[in-house]
Amino acid sequence: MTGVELRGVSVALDGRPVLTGLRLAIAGGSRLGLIGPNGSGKTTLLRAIAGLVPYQGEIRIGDDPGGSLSRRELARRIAMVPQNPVIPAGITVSEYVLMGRTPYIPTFGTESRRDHEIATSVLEHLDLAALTARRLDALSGGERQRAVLARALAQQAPVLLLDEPTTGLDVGHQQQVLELVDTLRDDLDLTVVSALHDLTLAGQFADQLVLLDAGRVAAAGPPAAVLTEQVISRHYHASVRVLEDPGGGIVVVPVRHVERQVTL
Amino acid sequence: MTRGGLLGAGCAALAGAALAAVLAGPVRLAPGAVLLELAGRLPFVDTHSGLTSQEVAILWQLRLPRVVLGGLVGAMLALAGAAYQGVFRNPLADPYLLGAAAGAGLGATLAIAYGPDTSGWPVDLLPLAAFAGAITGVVAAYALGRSGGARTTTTLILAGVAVAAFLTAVQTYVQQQRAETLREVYGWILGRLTTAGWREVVLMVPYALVSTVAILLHRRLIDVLAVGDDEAASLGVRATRVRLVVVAAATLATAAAVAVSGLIGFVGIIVPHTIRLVAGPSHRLLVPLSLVGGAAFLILADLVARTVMAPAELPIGVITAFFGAPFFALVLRTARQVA
Repeated sequence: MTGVELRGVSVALDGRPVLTGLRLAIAGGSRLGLIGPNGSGKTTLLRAIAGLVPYQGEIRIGDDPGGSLSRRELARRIAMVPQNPVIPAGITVSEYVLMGRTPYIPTFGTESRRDHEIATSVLEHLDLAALTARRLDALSGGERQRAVLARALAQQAPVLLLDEPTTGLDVGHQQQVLELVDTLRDDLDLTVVSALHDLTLAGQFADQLVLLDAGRVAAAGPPAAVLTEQVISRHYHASVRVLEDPGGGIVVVPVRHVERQVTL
Repeated sequence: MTRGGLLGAGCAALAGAALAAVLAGPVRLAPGAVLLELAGRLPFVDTHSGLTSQEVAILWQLRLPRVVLGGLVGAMLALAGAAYQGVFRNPLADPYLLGAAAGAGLGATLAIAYGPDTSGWPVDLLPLAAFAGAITGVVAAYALGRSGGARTTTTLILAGVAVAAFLTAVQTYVQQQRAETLREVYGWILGRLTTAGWREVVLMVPYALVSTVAILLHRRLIDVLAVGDDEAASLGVRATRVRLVVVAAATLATAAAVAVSGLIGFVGIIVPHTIRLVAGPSHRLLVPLSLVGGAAFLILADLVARTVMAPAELPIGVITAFFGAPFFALVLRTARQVA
């Protein structure tokens, strides 16, 4: 299993610091949830791990510094599901998933029989076998998200990065996608790092949470330690109740304070 | 239809177009005799076609070089169109994007207006000047588009528009200053295959080969670029590098075509889009089919250009634009409906 370690990682975009001196050790096979208000640097952190933005400091992927790995080698170790994947017009589900084999195909070569077999098995695993010939842009939101996940899995990378994988899905599909990721992590021994918007889901589907605020780690630890009313109100400027779910886990509910309303 | 079926159909269409173009003209040649004559040139085959020596000369010195050149030009323009549209993820990108056409126009105008008399030279100055102009235009656009820091494809296309406007202004100035060359410049800009001989074919073949091989090799990677530079990078592909190589190859193809035939518009738009409608968006099939389809389309367009007002010839650019402009509108409509 491949872990990820960040040693003093800073990222500046257009001269503006976005991440500052991050230190983070993500154990191989663990589920890390990244939370934090909008603009706190969650996406940038995922992009830095995937080697998509230049950074200062060191990010180790397994035993190697990410900077020492070629683009292809990085793509074999890290698969990323972006928040808003680009869906090429007219592409079929099977073509799209097969694209995940790109880091293994020789530059001027074509897919091998093995690449096709892996794509087929991923499609079956994610219950997409019946949709292979369908156009990706004609699928429902939930089906499309599974196809995007399938492409990432076809990369057979030990580290899977998910940037708000539940965006645009209803609550049922949100749960389905996250349950699926959880099952896959168990089956394939993946290290999963997800940026999550929904704090309740984050608490349910992560072993460890890291709360980013203004590019720094504001809180880290198991969900019960991070998801407190005090921490959330300080960093999100939100009014919430943190409730114990009798079935286990934590529920974060926004509440409305009438006295804080601005009188117009 | 399967991949093989589509390619087979494309090749059959090309062969049909070529044969029709070889046979038609003021002197009608018999199809059987022409096929026998062509077969006779193959090694170890000896045939008696029954063509007169005059007909043989018409076939080998007039019709065939023109058909081959038309095919090459059409194939290169369609290839470049498919490639530009792919790497810029823009359905309206065409081979004359990025200042290639304007640069070629300026180069040709300069050669016509100020160039020395080259009738005694082994090579004509005009195609070389057009070639140099096209390359200069694209290099300028690329340099300008990348200097801003933001390396988006939109910046590059906008830089192409700026470079094209500037080069066209210079070209118009030169053209007006030397009004006596107006007719010749205008004829060149509209495109023509009239002076075609084997010399132009020989001039064009090496560039055509290099561009074709380069783009065919990259056709799977062009498909990966469809998910955007960022996702391509997370799949292990350096999008900027692929784009640079493909743009260079497509520009070379465009410049070679422009150098021998002037500015023949719309081929690079019509052909790849029609093929996309039939064969889907994947460049694995789109690139080879564009080569074949572009060749067939231009051979037919040239056939119409030289027969519809015979013995006078219409500039071929008029034919491709006549069919291309309405088609362009159609593509715009369907593109809007899809989006």
